[in-house]
Amino acid sequence: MRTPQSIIKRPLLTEKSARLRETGGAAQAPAEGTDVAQQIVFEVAPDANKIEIRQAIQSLFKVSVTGVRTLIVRGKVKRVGRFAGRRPGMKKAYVTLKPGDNISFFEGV
Amino acid sequence: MQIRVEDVSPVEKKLHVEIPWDTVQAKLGDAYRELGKGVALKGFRKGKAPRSVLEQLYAPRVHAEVVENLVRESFYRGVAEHKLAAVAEPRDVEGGEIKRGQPLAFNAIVEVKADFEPKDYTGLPIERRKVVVADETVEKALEELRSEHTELVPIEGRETSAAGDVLALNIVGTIGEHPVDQKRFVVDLDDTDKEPVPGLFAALTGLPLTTKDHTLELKIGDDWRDENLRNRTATLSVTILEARAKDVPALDDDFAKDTGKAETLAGLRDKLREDIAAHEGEHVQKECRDAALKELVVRNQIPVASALVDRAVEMQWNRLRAMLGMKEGQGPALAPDMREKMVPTATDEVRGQMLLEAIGIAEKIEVTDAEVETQVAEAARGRNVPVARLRAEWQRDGKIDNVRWSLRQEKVLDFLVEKAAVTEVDKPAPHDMHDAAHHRG
Repeated sequence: MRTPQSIIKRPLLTEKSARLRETGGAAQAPAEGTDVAQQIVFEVAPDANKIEIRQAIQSLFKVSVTGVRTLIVRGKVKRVGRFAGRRPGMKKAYVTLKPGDNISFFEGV
Repeated sequence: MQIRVEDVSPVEKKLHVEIPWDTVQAKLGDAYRELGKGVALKGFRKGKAPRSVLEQLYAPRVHAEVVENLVRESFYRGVAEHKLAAVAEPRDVEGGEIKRGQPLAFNAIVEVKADFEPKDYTGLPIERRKVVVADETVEKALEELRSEHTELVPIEGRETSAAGDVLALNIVGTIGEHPVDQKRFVVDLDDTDKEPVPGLFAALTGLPLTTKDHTLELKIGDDWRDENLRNRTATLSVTILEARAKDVPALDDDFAKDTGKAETLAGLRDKLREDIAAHEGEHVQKECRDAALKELVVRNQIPVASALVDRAVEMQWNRLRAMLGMKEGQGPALAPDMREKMVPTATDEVRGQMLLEAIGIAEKIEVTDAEVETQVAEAARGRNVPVARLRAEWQRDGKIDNVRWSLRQEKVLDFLVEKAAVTEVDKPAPHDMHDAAHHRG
């Protein structure tokens, strides 16, 4: 069986992911004191499915996951002179947590 | 912001500060906003990193900065509110940990100038040395003046060198194991103090003025001042490049006129005596000032803030380094044991300055703008720069205030001497009167 660590590679911290953490995808930040269903973005193993991702997150961070959406980012083609290459792609997962749940991490930023 | 002051010692106050959370929060907000503008984080455009991310990454640094700023701010406010004469930044800050929703509380020690009234500063017992200018001192000064007016003239009427001549020599050879190669070495055959090798001047006396490659062999004894040359033999080949005789002016009224100081020789003697006495008078006045200040400090052992002593030690050390020709940042740092030795003098120096300042205020001794201007003009003359330029420079650097401060201290010292119980004493000068007067001229 695969370990959760081999499924979840790292959290992705970007402007968009920071916004989703705060608003949960809503157009506006919620009023103070309101629980938000946070969305956290991770890089995950390319062959991991949504069920595995949900279980891995729940077991790693002890939170409840209400939804997982995934996408594959294809690496850009890069050229150095006459040599062309491709950067590695990755699989991203947008994980929605139960309102009130929270994950704190900042390793790897 | 609540600031309470507690007395720790006459020169230390403890500030108890409590800053409401709202103020702290506002400061944190400002700090994060400022940080966010410049910080570059992967995944975020510049200035777009949210505060939550910044908080997790930079909280310790931001908190430390905010606390430092708040400590400084509260220090200035505390000093103003409680009219503290602080002499240094606050130290030994205790507490000062930011906790969400709680006021920021901390204590800090602030060193202040001690509050004191100068006492017993009149009638200080001091000894004033009587200024007596001996005839020998005047004669020595006259001789010095004579040698200053001596001209070097081409030698006429003789073919050989004589005592008192000034020769330019080319010297090649060895002194023991030391090689010598002087292309143009000027010697005054009268000035035996500067004789490089014993017997050289005697050997050069009586030589033809056209001497070329004349070999001299001189034995150096074991009592010669330069121990590296003792018991060596100097083998030197000497060529006289140029020879001049000294035309020493006769001691007469013409010489007196030439000096521009007097019309007659008697008048010149009087003028020299007057100059030496005037200069010596300044010396005596300085001695009196020093004695008065010393006594004043003994009578007023006021407490002194350690920050002021540290500063005085630092200044003493810098003065010492400057005397040794070291530039800033050069040379060794001040060793702790050396610092320890300098502390008593530095403490008395600070104590003296504080006392003079307090007496100046008590006696309403002021320095006028004209006096400051005179001082600036004098300094400008010494440096050979326009007065206006030096004044503008000093005003820009704040040195004008230093000048005013020094002048005031001097005036207070003069006041102390004026009010002192002075005893005239016959004591020899601690220095050569003539030398002092000469160096001044």
